[in-house]
Amino acid sequence: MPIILDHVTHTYMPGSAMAQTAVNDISLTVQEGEFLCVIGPTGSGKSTLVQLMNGLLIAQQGSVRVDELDLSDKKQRMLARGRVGLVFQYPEYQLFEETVTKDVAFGPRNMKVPEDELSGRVNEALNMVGLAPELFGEKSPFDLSGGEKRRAALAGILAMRPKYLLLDEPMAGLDPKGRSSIIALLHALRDRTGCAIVMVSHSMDEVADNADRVAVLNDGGLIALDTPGNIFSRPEKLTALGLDTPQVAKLLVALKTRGVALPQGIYKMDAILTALLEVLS
Amino acid sequence: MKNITLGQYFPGNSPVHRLDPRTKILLMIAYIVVIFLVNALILYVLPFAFVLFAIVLSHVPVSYVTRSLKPLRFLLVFMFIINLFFTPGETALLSFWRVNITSEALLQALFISIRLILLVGGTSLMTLTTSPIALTDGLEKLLKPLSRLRFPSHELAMMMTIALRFIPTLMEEAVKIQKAQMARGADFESGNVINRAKSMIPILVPLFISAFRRADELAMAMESRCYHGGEGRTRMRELRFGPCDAVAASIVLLVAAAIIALQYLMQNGWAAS
Repeated sequence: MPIILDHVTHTYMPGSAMAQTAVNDISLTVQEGEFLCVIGPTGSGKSTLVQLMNGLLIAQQGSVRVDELDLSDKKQRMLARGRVGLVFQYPEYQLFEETVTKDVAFGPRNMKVPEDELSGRVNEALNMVGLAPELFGEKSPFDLSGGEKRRAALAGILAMRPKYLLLDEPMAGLDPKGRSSIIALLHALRDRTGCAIVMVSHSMDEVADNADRVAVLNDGGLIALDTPGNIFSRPEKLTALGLDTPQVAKLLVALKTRGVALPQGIYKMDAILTALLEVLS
Repeated sequence: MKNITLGQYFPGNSPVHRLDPRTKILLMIAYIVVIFLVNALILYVLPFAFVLFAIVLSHVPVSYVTRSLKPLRFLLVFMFIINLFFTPGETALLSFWRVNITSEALLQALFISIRLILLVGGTSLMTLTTSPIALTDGLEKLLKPLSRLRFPSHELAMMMTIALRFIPTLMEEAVKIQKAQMARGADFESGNVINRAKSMIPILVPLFISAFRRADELAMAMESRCYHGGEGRTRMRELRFGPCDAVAASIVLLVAAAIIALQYLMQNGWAAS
C-alpha cells in the first residue's frame, strides 16, 4: 500500500491578502520501498509537500491517503503519523529530553508502544545511526556534537519504525563526511526494513546517486516525475529552473562538446567510467 | 498562532504618522489625563470627536481601531454589570426582587465603559500609526534625562527593540518545533489541562535553547560591529520636532483646555458668570 496524493492543493492563509498557494494540484504516488527524491528551487513547495504526506498540513483540495488511511480524518491521521516518519531540516533543534535514550523514546511512547518493548527499539535505532547506546544513551543530548545531535534526532524518528521516511534536506549544514554517513545510513535502513524514503535535497549529486525516481517541483506544481537518468539527461531544463545539475551531467555535456558521445541515460559515476573505458579502448 | 499582529503597525504617510513619536507619547499621556478628569457625560463628546478626527486624518481604517477593542468586550460587559449592580446610590431607577439599579450606578457604569473605550481606542491609534522602532526611539529620548540618575534609558530601548524584533522569529520557530514534535506523535489538542501543560515541554525546552543560542549569536554580532552601549552613539534617523508637532500639540492642549473650562463652568453653575 503506497502513499497516494490525489490532486492535492494547499494554500497558506487562504482568503487573506497574503494567501499563497504552495502546492497546486499535485498527484503523486510514493511506492513502497522506493527512494524518491524531491527537487525544486526555493519556494517551490517541497517542504509543504512532505508535510502534506504525514498530515501536518491538511490538503484543502484533493486527498492524501497513507495505506488507505485518510489523512483528513483526525484518528486515521494519528495512526498514519506512526507509519510516516518526518525528519525536518535541522532536526537537532527538536531534542528536549534529559538523556538521549529518553528523547529517542519520545516518539514510540507517543505511539503507545508497550514499555517493555521501548528499550529494544531505542537501542536498535541508536545502533542504526551509529551512536552506541552504552556510550551515548545516558548523555544529555545537548552535550553531543552537531553531527551526533543530528543522528540522535534521526534515531528519534527511526525508533517509531516508519514504513515511509520523509526527510527535508537532512544533510543541510553537515560536512562531506557527515553527509555520506547519513546517505549510507539511509541505504542500510532501506535494505534492512524495506521502508520507502522520500528525500528533499538541493544536492543534485546525491539525488543522481541515490534516487530511484525524482520529482521536480516548480511554483507549487509537479513538472516532472521520472527516473534520474531521464531527468538528468536534459540538464538544460533544470538549469532553466535555476537548479544545479549533477557533476556527472556536466561531465557528459563537456564530453559531448568535445566529440565523445556516450550512450543516453547514464548518470552514475561508475557507469560513466565503464562507458568511457569502452569508448576509449 | 498565525493571527497575532504585534505592534499592529499600519504603515502610512499621513500627518499623524509623520508626527514625532515623542509628541505622540506626550500627547497620549495628556489625553489619558483628560479622559480621567472629565466627570460629566456630555463632555465626552469632545475627546470622542478628537479621536475620530485623528482617525480620519491618519487614513487608518476605522475597522482597525475597533478591532483593537474586540478583546476588551468581555471586560467591558463585566465592568458595566458590576458597576450597575454594586454602586451605592439613592435615586432608584429599577428595582425587582432584591436588585436595585440606581441612576448613580447607571452613570458610573457608563463612565467606566466610555473611559475604557476612549482609552484603548486612543492608545491603539498611536500604536497603529507609530512603528515599534519609532516608539522605542521616542521613549529612549524621553527617558534620556533620567540617565543622570543612572536610569539605563538606552539599554531599555535597545532591549525593547530586540524583543520586538525577535517575537516573529521565535513564533516561527515555535511553530516549526511544534510540527516536528507532532511528527513524532505528540498530541497538543486533547487531554485535560495538566496533560496539555505537560505536552508543552517538548516545545518549550527547544524554544528556550534556541532563544539563548540566538541571544548569544546576536551579542557576538553586535560586539563584532563595535556596539558598546548608548554612549556617543549617533542615529541614522534623528528625531526632530516639526511644524506638525506644534499643530498637534496645540490642538490637544486646546481641546484639553476647553474640556477643563467647560467642566469648571458646569460645576459652578452657568448663572454665576
